[in-house]
Amino acid sequence: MNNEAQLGEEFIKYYSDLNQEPYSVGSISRIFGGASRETYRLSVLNKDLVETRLIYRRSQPSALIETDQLTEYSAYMAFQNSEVPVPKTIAIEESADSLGAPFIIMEELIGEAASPFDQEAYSPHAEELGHQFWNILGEIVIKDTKDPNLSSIPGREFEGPSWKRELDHWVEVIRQDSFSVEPILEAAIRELYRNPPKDPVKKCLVHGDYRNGNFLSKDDSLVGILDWEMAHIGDPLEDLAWATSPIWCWKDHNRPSYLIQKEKALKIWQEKTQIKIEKESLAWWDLFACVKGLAIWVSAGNEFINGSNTDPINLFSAWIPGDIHLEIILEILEKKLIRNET
Amino acid sequence: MKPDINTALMFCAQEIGTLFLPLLEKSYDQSRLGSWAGLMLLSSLQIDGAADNLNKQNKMMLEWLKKNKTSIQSKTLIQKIEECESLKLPDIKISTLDNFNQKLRQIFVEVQEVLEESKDLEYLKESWIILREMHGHRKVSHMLDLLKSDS
Repeated sequence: MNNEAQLGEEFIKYYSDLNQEPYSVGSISRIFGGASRETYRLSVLNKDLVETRLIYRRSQPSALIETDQLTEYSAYMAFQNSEVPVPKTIAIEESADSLGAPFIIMEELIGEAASPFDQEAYSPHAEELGHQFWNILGEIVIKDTKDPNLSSIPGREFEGPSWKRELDHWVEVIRQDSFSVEPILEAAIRELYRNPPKDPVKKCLVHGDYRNGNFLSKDDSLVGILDWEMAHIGDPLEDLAWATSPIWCWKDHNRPSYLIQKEKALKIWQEKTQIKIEKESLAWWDLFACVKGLAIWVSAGNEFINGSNTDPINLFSAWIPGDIHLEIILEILEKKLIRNET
Repeated sequence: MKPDINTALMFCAQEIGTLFLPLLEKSYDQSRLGSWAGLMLLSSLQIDGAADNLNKQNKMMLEWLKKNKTSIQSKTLIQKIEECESLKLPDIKISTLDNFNQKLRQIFVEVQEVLEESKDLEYLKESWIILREMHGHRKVSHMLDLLKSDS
């Protein structure tokens, strides 16, 4: 029996017990991409051969960025049957006792996830999807953070400035996982600590990785917002800067996430959230997005080098997005230097 | 030894993509092998210039550090620069050049920080020119402009 078949057998025992009726595995296949979780698509059949399609997300023995499954699951719970489309949650196991690793189970949403580097991924529906994408981000910002489902989301109890909590966290990841000295990255870190942003008008739920590639679409409908494992309570501008970062629209910087024009996207976000975008603070979060990105790519490279996870996605992450984020930092800091000269 | 390693890697990547990839049934396996082929191709592009690039970077950083000694107050930092100046590398292996490169980068970061505090814009500007050139040596830097312009 191969690894997937064995996983399927173990899973179906758990799932049958959970539902107190016998199920069998119709099919199981691993989904490529994302190094923090092993994600499987399963078709399961009950005794009447009625099919249910599931997503089974297991923690990797060595996860790229250490996040617990509860964070992602809590976010999904908070948005069940809401304006923010998410998969229907079924179960969470935070210990490795049942199936050898912590995991969550959800119903599969039918839609396509595109590559964040594909400029034409959403053609010809980029306009419609763009409106939904930025409106949904606004919905996340206005979500009541006192929702009991969000009680275990990181950052909820933190009373200090969100920028510092986030920057300290990602710099710590860089300090732990770097194998080499990167002067461009170090200059960006110094710049961020020296010139912090203004306090936000309110703290909100932050998705943590809101961008193209992390949502499902079907024709002109955005059917699911996924990958909430880095969710936390923080500054509303954090997701905005991350989603508009040039890395996610490298071939067309003015069309973030390859959807609609940046100006239009920001307008939709402002109307939905009723938050006025403070230009200098957004610029701070733009630079922060590069540092956070590099922390993730550095961490991926570390996992590859130390052999704990030699998935090629980790090598790809360290080489290609890592280079792109350094290029963006260079552009930002060179411009700042020129401004200071004049 | 001929053919060169980069040529061998390039053909190997091509063969993986065209011959072996279509034989796999599972989409996960296909994507994973396809990624390896792409990364192998990327690696092959950089092998030839790797040592030369490191050597150039080391020279640029060392020259800049030497010039900046007059603007630095810290004796420890000056001592670190002088140690690098007098260091004779035992060979020109990539690993030797890279170790020296890392050492220079660390001092470069420290000196840049000093100059930022003293607002010495002239030397700072030079440092960013060096960093821009060093960034140009990275694996995919030469592809970034192509990615941008193909829109």
